[in-house]
Amino acid sequence: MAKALDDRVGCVILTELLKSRYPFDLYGCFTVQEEIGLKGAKAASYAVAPDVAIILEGTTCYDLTGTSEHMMSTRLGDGPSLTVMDRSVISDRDLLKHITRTADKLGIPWQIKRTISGGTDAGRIQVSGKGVRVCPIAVPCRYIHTPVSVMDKRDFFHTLKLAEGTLAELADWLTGDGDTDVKDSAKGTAHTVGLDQNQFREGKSNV
Amino acid sequence: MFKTISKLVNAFGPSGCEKQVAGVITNMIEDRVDEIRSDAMGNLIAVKRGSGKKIMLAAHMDEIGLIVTTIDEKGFLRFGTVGGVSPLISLGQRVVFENGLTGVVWYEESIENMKDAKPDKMYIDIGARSEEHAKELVGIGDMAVFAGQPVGQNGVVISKALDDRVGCAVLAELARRCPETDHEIYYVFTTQEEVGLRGARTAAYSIMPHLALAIDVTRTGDTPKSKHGAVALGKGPAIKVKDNSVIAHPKIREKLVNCARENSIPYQLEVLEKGGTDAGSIHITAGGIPSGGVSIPTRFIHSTAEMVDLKDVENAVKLLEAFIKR
Repeated sequence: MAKALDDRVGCVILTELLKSRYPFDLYGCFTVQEEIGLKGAKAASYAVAPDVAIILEGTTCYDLTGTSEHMMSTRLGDGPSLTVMDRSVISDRDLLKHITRTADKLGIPWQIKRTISGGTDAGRIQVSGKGVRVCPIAVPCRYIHTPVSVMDKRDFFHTLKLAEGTLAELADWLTGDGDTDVKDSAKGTAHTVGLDQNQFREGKSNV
Repeated sequence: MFKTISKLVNAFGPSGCEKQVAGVITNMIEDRVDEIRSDAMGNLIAVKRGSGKKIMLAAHMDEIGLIVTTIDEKGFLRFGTVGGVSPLISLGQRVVFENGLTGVVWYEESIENMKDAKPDKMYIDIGARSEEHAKELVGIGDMAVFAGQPVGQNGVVISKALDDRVGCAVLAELARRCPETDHEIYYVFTTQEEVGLRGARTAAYSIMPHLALAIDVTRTGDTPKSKHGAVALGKGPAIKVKDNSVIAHPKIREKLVNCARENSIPYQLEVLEKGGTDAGSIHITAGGIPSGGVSIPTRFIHSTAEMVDLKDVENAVKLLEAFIKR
């Protein structure tokens, strides 16, 4: 229970991730000015020009009494929240699949964020430069954008574990990339191994 | 041309899921271009090499759709919209998922005023017997598009997704005709246009063309009491003057008009007050890229039954052929 879990929780996870070594360049970006329009990420993503970006967040959680099931963006305790689509971004399907497979393999619960409102810096990063494959992983936080956000410790540790697992297998995924079914059309795609680990916060949430 | 359009509109391709469309286009044109590749956003970029200017021609592959947000305890699917889907137009329509599953779009019948029929008061029924049954068939985050086969009659085509598969058809046909030119032509089939002109932005950045044209649909004002300006079905491709996302570069507009006149191709001028095209994100990429557009006049855009005139489509191909030869 704290203020500013959006998105200091992402900052903590990223700090932890930076303690390990990876077979690719990992850029840990602690971005600025997300809450007023996803600004820092835009500049950072041009500077880094990553192949892949994973966005670590605290996201809206609206599992309260009186809310219909389909309006609950995420549920506390149900695991890390993954975004298929919000107002700012449609995540890279293959990257999302890699993350959910990793979660299943590690026995980590996960949920897809149900509402499509709100935005994250994933939207800015994805369309920067020649394009970036993006997907947000987030810790559900109740009462986001208020003086008291509430998160579930289990969700926090699951998110950390999932982010670690995703990175651990990312090199294989990037070189293997068996998900591209467009006939030969991926042959020009640059799959040089490298990663930008960005961390951002939720912008205009639906809270 | 109807056959080409049919193949393209039948492919499943809501924003972010354009691979099927890319596959169809690749099969159509790969033997006619020097290089074909896709990028991180899923854009399909086909290149015909040349020593002159780099010209980018863009048509978007994605169509509007619905996305499953929740599966309820009885097996009904709640959804959000992908791109500009009108809730009222969706009502009572069939939608189809990538795996072929069909659903019906309906609304909570406690609604008295249909103006309140917003997507969060609507649902998709796939005939599932329970939540578990539904979850075997479809997952949260899966997308669906309007269902329906294209019809060709009286020289027009009626179909879903003509926005913008008809533009893809124009570019594919142009690539197949291999017009003689010194210029380097980039046939770019973009992604995620319907959710904010996203794919075109990264494609333009990687290509850095000298100039660009977006090939998309535009509204017509020729239906009963329409408010949408002067463009009419069957009176020729529309040369873009402006829309909500871009003001066409005057020299490109002028050149297109001259090409049409010299080759006796009918044309109209497009001043679209609502809506944008890929040119909107291309023209402000990097240091700025002079951009314009050639649009296919289309009735009932973003409905399950959009309508274009095949003469307009053919003339758009001719106009672009004349343009890139100069």
